[in-house]
Amino acid sequence: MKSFINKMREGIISENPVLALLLGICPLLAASTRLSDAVVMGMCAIVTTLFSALVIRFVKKKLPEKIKLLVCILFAVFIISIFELLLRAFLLPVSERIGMYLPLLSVTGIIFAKSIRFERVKKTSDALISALACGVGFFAVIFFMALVREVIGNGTFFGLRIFPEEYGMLVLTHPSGGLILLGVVIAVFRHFFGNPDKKEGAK
Amino acid sequence: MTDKKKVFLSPEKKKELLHTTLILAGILAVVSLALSGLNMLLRQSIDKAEMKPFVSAMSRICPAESYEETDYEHSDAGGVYALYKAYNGTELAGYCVETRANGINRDLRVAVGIDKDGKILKTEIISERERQSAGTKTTDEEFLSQFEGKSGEVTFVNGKASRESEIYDVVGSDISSPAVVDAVNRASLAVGNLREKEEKEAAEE
Repeated sequence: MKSFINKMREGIISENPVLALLLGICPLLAASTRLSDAVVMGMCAIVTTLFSALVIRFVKKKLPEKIKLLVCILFAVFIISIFELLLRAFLLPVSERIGMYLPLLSVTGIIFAKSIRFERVKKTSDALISALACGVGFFAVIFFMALVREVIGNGTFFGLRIFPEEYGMLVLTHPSGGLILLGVVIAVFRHFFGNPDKKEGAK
Repeated sequence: MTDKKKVFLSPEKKKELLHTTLILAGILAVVSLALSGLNMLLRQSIDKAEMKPFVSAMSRICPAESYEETDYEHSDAGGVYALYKAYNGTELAGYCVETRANGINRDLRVAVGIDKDGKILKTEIISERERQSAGTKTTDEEFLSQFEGKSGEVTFVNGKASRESEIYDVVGSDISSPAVVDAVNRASLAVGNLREKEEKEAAEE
């Protein structure tokens, strides 16, 4: 249990895909203007990282070295495509808003970098916990970003109006505002949890 | 003349390459088959979900007892995605048209209700992904109500409208507002073409 908590903490905080490794920023910025979009994107990230970890563990000894990563990416695309079809059938407004950024998630650095990492881990359970933590880390950041951007920028919470639209900080709903907010979040994160680049250098 | 060196692959290398290619092709085939199967399974739900906003808008843009889809050919339609006839009993009440035009981020879906004489009854934006400032304000009643009662082609003007056929930009959006005007014009044109075609057919009979 203790090792599970430690691994989760490591994945969510010290190896957070967005705040520590700066991966998956494009889909993060695109889908963090509304909380509903952020939840869907975050869930997709969790399922995709978990699935790609499982696939890379399964094909570890069965496939030639050259195509392991290719197969892993292919399966990530497969999962995202399933999500995309399900969203179009049952949650069309969210699908229309997220648009091309959902397929983009399957080829972000999160899947590339983490797939290599999952392959090197000895136990399958460790790889799965690490994948779950990575997905949860992405989910946490995109949810927080969407919370700030939707509530302060647009004056709504999950689409419910909290205060009049004209009092909202409109710049937060634009890509530039999202980038500025992400910069602030990364700066605050690194102030409290340290700079992963410096830690790497020290090692 | 330059000598070209021919590169030969060893039999082991060839075998390895073939093996790798076959594995990748096999996985790709399985994944593609699974996805196309799922697509076929969900096709009806996807089509239904895509039509839902327009179907629910029909009773608002052209209230009637029943609606019937026309066989308007989409290849000639130029941005017209659906055209329904509205009936009160057996009498034609008007037309409901869904058109799409290029917005800032993606297509703007516009539903236009037109009466049997070709006059616009009501216009609604059923889906948009414009910027949250001027672009999203094209859904405002102040802008959309300008189309009501107009027939034929309308033109977009930046300042105040001086003619009956002009629509002015009340929201300050250089891209979204002309896109809506363009979509409404396409709807009027589609209904005009359909009426012309039907009148010709009736005359021939």
